[in-house]
Amino acid sequence: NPYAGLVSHLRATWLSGKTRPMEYRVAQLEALGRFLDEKKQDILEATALDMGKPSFEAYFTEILLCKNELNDTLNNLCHWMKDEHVDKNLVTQLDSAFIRKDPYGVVLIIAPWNYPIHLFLVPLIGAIAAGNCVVVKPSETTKNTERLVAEMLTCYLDNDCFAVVTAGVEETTRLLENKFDYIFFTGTPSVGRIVMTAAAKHLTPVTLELGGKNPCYVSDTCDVQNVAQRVAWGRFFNVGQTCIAPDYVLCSVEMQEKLMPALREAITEFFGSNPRESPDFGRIVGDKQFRRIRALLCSGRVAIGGQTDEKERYIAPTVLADVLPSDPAMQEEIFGPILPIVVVASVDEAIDFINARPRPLAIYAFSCDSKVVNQVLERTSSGGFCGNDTLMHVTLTSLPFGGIGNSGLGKYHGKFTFDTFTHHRGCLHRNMGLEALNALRYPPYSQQKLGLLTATFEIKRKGMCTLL
Amino acid sequence: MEKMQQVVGRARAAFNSGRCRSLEFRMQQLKALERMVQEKEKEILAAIKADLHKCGHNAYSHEILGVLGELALAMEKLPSWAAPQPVKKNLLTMRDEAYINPEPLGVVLIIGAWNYPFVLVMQPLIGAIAAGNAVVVKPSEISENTARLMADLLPQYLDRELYPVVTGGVPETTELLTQRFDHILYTGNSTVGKIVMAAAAKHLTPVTLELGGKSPCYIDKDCDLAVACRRITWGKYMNCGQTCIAPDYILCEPSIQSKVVENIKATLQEFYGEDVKSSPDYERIVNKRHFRRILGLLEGQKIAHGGETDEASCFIAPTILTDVSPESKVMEEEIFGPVLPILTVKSVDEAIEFINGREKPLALYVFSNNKKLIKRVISETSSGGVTGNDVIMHFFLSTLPFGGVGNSGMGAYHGKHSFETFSHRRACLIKDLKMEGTNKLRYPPGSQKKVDW
Repeated sequence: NPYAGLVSHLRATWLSGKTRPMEYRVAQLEALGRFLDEKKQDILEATALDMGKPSFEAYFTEILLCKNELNDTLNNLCHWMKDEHVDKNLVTQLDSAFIRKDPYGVVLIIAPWNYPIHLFLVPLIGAIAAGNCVVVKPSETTKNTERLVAEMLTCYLDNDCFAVVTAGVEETTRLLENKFDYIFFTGTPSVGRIVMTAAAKHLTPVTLELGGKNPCYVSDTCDVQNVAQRVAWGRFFNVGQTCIAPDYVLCSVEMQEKLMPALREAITEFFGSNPRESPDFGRIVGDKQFRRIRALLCSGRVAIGGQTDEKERYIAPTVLADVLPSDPAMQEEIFGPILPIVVVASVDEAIDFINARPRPLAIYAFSCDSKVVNQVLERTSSGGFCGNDTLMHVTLTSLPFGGIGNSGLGKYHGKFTFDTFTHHRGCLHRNMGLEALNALRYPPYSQQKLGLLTATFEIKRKGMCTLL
Repeated sequence: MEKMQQVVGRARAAFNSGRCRSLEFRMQQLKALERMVQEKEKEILAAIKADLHKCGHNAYSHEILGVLGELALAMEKLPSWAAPQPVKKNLLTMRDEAYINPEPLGVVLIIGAWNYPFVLVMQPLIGAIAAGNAVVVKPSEISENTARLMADLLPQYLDRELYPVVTGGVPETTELLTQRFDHILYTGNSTVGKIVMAAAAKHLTPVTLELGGKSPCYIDKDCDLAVACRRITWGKYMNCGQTCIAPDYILCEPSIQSKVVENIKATLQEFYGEDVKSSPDYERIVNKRHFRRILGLLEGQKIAHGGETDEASCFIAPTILTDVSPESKVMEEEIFGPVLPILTVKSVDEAIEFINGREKPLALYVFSNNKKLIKRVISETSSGGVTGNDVIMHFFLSTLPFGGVGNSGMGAYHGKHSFETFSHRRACLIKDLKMEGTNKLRYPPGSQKKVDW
């Protein structure tokens, strides 16, 4: 077991209690902040090398959003860490009842390549804030970022408590043989299953941030230009390599007709007439992924884009029209700059289409009629939902971010990250005196005792609920 | 016995029909459950008595009282629990609607345990119904009378398609676990807990595992021993020790060991009289297999009190062991029986080290007049839950989440925590299609100016 030494070293530090005091956690979090500030240029360069990530995007997702989470956590940590006192019942009136926020111990964070800093750093913030020791395993696919994290992060954080492990598939499998007290995984559902199966051997709780095909319903009553911009932005951000990107559009044949020129206009506005030359449009992360996505192009007909260049791993911002449910683009999460449009006759048909498929990480619905948006919301199920825009719901740290069913289990962002890495321990601290009150519960039992006990323990209905 | 696939398939179709979404429907089902508990009280108590030799009063206070309380709480709070919760917005989303929408997960599975066979099915069931799910109920086959009763009663009071009861043993449960559920709540031991989680992993099903372990009980020499021992005796020997949060073993300084034994003996006399076997308030071990298992733990031990057994009636007298060695068999597994080992430690430091050298327990108990000491033991250890200066009681306060950590489990329930366990909290952001101006900042082409703003 090549990682046994590392894990036991972290566990020993964990047992020493080093990560518990708030001051310690704050110091480590502030160090993370300095990492983001001082290594900003290195991060932008590494992500540009790895996948041609435009610096605007890299700054926004890898630096800005991370700093937001950091500041939100630092601002509130004291409050989040406090024992949470709870309402008491009659029997416990004189006691102290509270929920303690205990760290789990040694936790593992496995991150993917698409937002290679953000997707390990944001969970890491919560894990540190909650008082854990952490092993971070960044993605091996984005090699420059991986090297940056392995070499530089360790200069900022306490190496007794935090470690970075660089590992491919084989080594990650070995890493997962160790016992962790929590595992946080972001990636595909198939690997998610492998991680959870490994976790089951040690009864390790997990959060799995997975993916799926996020549907985007566009009703006939909408401001077509605004819809086109918001959808194009969400689809082509990071060259479509976003777990919450709108994966495909559902709309009527008339709307498809209206959307097409609007989408064309938005794409041109964003990336110019030749997106290949735009500094704001990136590249596919690797050759394997490039070939996979290119194969999806033979679905429906290419209405916009469709150009590719294997050497550069460039795929143009592409919109496919008249795509059929049986087409290749509708068989898997696209994770690329291709937007298929599937024609449906009505919002009911769209809802049935969505419900016939695995529950996605996000659902989007566009309409000027709020009733339509609400219909889609109420009659479907997904990790999260955004009406009349894409992606934005995950930038609000007060909203939980996570999936359901195949798109994942658990949630994070803001306080939810802290809570994810915290064991909420129910504590009741009773009075040693007043023993007479306990007499009711002791044998020998009698009907009289039971009557009195019932009276003190019972929660009575306050009155008829207005619903009935 | 109908195939599991059909039962679960029917529950899923019933869930997809949408009829359990409305709060009215859920209230109706909860009200029906309440009627069931009230109307069939005699039958429920009789079944528990047949399974565990538990007297009516005990069964009522352990299993029925709590269930009625959870039902009343759920029915009162359901509208507020199920309501969308608005969240704090930022500058960019100021004009939008942002909230968390509690939604049902779908079809959930509840696997019960035999030691409190009624409440350990009913309490999760209440939360699962309140959250709007379809629920497949699988009571433990070991408490067969209660299982049979639930299979009879639930269909009489609840929607038959949405809340089927499945009975059977290991083969049936294994088959059930091959089906896809949207959440599984399992109460039982760690070994089977791992099997349940591995099965759940195939479908990426979230799980709540209410497992067990050895719940330590530290008695400080600065405490009212008479009171402490009375409380410990109550928690240890109730249900004949077959309680997941029973104080499993005692840690104390050698100087007070004999006083602890004396006090517990005196309390046992008070509770069960001279002849425990004839006390109507003392239960039996659930079956021969567990009887023999617990008997085996007594081998080679110094019995300070008790030790009498009778296999025919699965009777084991309340037993105390002293000067127990940490390596002995009785300290290897959760006892789940009326045997209380006392281990001596030199100090509270040693007690904490001892506790931390073992798997995280479901409950931890510490008795002391010194508040600081109690706080220290709690903060330097980890456990599912804690009661200070008493045992068991944190279970009865439904505002506290009840669950384990590490080997003792994951997830929690009771009260509102049950509702949340069986709900998906869906993040919702509803924007306006107008006001496109503010969006321009985020669109390409990017520029330093935009970033700086």
